[in-house]
Amino acid sequence: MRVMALQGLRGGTGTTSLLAALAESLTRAGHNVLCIDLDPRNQLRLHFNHPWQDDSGWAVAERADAAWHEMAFSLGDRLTFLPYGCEEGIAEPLEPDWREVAHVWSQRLAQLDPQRYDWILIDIPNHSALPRQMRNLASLWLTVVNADAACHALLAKHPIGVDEYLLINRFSPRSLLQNDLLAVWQRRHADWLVPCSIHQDEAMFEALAHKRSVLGHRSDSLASRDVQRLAAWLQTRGTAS
Amino acid sequence: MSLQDLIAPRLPPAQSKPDDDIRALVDNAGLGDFPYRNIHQQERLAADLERWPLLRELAGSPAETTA
Amino acid sequence: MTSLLFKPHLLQGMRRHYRDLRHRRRAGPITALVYCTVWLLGWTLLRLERPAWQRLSRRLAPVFHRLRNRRPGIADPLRYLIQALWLILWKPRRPGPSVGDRDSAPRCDRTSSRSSSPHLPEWRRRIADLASRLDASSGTEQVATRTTWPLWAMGMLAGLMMTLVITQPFSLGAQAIFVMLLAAVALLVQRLPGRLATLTLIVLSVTVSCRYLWWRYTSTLNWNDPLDVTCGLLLLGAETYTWLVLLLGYLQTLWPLNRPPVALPDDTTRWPLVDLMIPTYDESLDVVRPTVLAALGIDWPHDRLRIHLLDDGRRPAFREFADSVGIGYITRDENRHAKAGNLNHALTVTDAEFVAIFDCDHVPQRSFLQMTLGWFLKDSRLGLIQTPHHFFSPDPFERNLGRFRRMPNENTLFYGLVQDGNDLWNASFFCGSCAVLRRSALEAIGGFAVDTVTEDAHTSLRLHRHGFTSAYLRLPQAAGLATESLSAHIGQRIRWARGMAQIFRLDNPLTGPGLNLAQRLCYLNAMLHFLAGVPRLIFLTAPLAFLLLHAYIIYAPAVAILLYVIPHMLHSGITNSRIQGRYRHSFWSEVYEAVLAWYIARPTTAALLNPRKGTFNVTAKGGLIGKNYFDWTISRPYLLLIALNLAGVVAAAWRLYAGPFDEVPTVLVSLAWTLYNLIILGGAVAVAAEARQVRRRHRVEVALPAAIELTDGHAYPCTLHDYAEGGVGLSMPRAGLLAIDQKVSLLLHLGTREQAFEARVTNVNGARAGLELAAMTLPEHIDYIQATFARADTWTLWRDNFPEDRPMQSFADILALGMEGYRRLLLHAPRRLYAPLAWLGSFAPRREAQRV
Repeated sequence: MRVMALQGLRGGTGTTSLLAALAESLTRAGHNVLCIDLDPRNQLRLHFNHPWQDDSGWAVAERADAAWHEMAFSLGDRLTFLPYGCEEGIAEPLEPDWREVAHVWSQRLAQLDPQRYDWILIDIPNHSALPRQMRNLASLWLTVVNADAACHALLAKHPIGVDEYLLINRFSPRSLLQNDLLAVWQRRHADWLVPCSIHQDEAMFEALAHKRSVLGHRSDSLASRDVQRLAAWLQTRGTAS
Repeated sequence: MSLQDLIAPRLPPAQSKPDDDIRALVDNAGLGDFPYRNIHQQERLAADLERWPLLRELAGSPAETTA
Repeated sequence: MTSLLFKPHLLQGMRRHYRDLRHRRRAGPITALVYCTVWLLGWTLLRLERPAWQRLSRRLAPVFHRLRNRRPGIADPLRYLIQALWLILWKPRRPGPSVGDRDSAPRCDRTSSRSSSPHLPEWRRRIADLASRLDASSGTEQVATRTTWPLWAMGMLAGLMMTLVITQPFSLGAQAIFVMLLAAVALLVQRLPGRLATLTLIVLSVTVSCRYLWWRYTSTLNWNDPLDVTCGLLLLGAETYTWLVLLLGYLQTLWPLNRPPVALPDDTTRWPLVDLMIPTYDESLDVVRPTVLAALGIDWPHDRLRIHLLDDGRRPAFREFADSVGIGYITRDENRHAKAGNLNHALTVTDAEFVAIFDCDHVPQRSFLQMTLGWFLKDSRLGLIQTPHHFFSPDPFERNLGRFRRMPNENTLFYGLVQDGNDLWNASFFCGSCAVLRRSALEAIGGFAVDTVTEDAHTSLRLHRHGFTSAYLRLPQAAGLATESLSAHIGQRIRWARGMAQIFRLDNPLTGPGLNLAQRLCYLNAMLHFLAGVPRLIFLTAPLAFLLLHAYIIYAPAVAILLYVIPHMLHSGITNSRIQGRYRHSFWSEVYEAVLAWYIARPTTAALLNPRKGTFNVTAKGGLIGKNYFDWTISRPYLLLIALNLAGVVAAAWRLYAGPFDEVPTVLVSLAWTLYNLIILGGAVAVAAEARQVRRRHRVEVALPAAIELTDGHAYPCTLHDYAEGGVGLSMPRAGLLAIDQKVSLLLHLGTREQAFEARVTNVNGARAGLELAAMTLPEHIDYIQATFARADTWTLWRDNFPEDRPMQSFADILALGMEGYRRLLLHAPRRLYAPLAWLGSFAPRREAQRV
């Protein structure tokens, strides 16, 4: 069982879509995958064709004193996902106590049968006030960025954790700036930059509109190919450790 | 996160060697660790940094100058 | 005492081996000592740690299973011998894979995992390490300092024995036993890996061939008949030539050096200044542009690299182009001495210590200078480093025979083996392009040689005479276009042949100062190679002397001829197949030579007689062949030779029918020879049928991953199948993604970067599509060339690992090729000639096609 967390360096880097695609790619490679949404915006489920109306999720279950694992949904034989859930009548989701979340989830993950899932992917919201304990949840941490100046500036201040890797999403070689940034990052962040970036691809956006991952939407698109490469790279990382 | 974790990383670096045509050449010709210098890329990097004021400013950090 | 003889680590390894034998396998002290010595001897001489030997050892392990697990005894060799004899004589089947598929490693592994030695014991691995270290440490310098008289004595003794073996007259029976024994040894040794086995084969081949020639000179000439002796001497001369070339070839390719590149200093400011020169005369800008742009992308500090376009055509467009990309433009008022003169003029107006030279159609890879310049810094006497000429387009043989990249091409032998073999003797020579020279060395010899039409070889000959060394780096670091048509190919070879003959006369490598014996012989062989025309013509007509003129060219009984000729051919065939197999398949040399023979025969003879005459012609490249056609002009000599040989076949039939009975064997031998000649000539004719070539700009076939981004934001991975200067061909993941005239962005990898190029779809065929690139700015254009033509891994992408040479298979190929030649001849034959033949053919019985 390998636990991997994905987090955007800033909001809107396309992390959730990427996680859904990665989950599907790993599933297709024959792994059992569990996706956990820790983002109160509760978006991940939409990539897995989950009804918009269904508000259930682990956070809601917690308040209703129900068992968290009963909120999981399975999609096919190998893919299971756990939505965050949203409470009825509340437009803005409540900010949870992240210290508590980290604590609770590290216990829950420890209780899971290690044979049941090969991969656990956790969608971590981009939130400045996340406690350091969150980092201990996952043994592999992917920080998702776009090749733009904002991310460049943020990266300059970013404390790099152990087992943390930098992944470029929505990379477009047509952009001079993106190309230059990639070159600079390849030099500056060589030790933690993932060697396969995900290209900018309309299919990635369309996928959510179709309520599925990009692999399910267009498996021959460039983004799908990139995700599959990323999955392959992750698997080699998995055996390397 | 403990201090121990920070000192001893558990995972290997993201990429040991860049995967490009030079690597293919060196591997195929059995050149081992031939110290190839990617001069063109280096010269271009300097130009890249010059082009964007923000990048130039941030490049002042030691990581960039030693590279 | 022992420490004087052996190096300490060697002694240590031997001690470990000894202890292992004594304690683990419980051998007696004397046995262990004897085996240690034998093992050591084996490792030092045979490099048993090499994978090929290991495979052999694994394959043999199961059959000696019982002996291997036994306690070692002093009489074990005898036990092994008896076991081997028993296996050979009684064992019906050999375990493991057959010898034919040597490279089926997985199967071998499976065999061995069943057997007793699934992995190498630790001690053997150690000894292997030891042996490889020993091998590495016995460099040339150490060999030179050692006492050499025992070697000389042994050499003398061997020479004397060899002379005896060569000159001793045998009865036919004795000769038969002798050649069969040698052939058996050769066939056995041929299966063993390693250079020692190769050397053994060479010795056998030299012995047999020398014996053959001795026999020919001493007992096969009929001095009583003037016709016999004239024809006989002609053939004998040709055979002597072949024998000489064979021997020199062995010497030349004895030990290919395979030199690695040397690293440059860490500090790039200490890297030397380089003038990169691109001479051109009348080639179009389209041909020159990629070369210049690739040169601009070479990984070398830009302030230490100066690129010059040497335009002997004085064309304003070229000056403009050079200015627009910021390189030097050098021209002169006259065109004296063609390319050599052009380069010499450029030397007067430039001043960098090193001069890199590229023909205008050879695109340098970005790694070129970093791979080559290191040797100059290491060896201050190095005057020249040459790299192979690699082609991305098929040469006329490959194109017209449809064999591009299916087997080694014509120049693979030269650049893969011969030059690398020359390098051992410090005799690799300059080939006019893709090379770097030291300016001070050039100045010492007065610039590039201008006396001959092959200034390249002559220049390096002079460098060697002045004590400079040369080096050859067997890594293709540039690629270019091959000659387009057979006539262009022949034109090029005529020039080379004439030039080599000129050098032979004007600056003979056998005489004159400064060269050592090996260098003289290597140069001699290079020149002799181009004198092959006349001897080849003699071979192609020799049997006719008997069949048509009834001249006994080999005055000996047919049986004797077979007993001497067949071993000679067999041994040289086996040996050359082993040495050259990876670079040229058996029998192909004959076709290449047959094609050129007629054309180079006259110019070389003329140049030998009068070396200062003759004009210079530039090799035409980048031409266009509008449709399939048969080059009747160029194939005229082949047709004549075919007609003669056909007449020979008819004469043979008549002689068999009407001739005296005791001549039948001789007629049969001559007939076989004639038929063989006909096959080879058929191959030559097949090449003359020019295949259609439609595109002006060559498309280079590759299989590179790339991507396409559409204007609507969708992106798809794709595979690049070919590229040219202005466009690419690719295949998309599925059909229907691209439409004609659609604008797209092509994403290509460029080192670790990725670059986008704007393009327009010009044709779509299912998932395949052709793109035309939009106009590019200069940096974009350089990037494009870097991402395509100048990639450092172009040659590695092609994976030129051709099927191993199998002489019989190769002969079948040649046979098919010969038949194909006659088919094409009929196909292109004028109607009047073709009609009667077709009418005749209509009588032939044929199987009706089954209808369903």
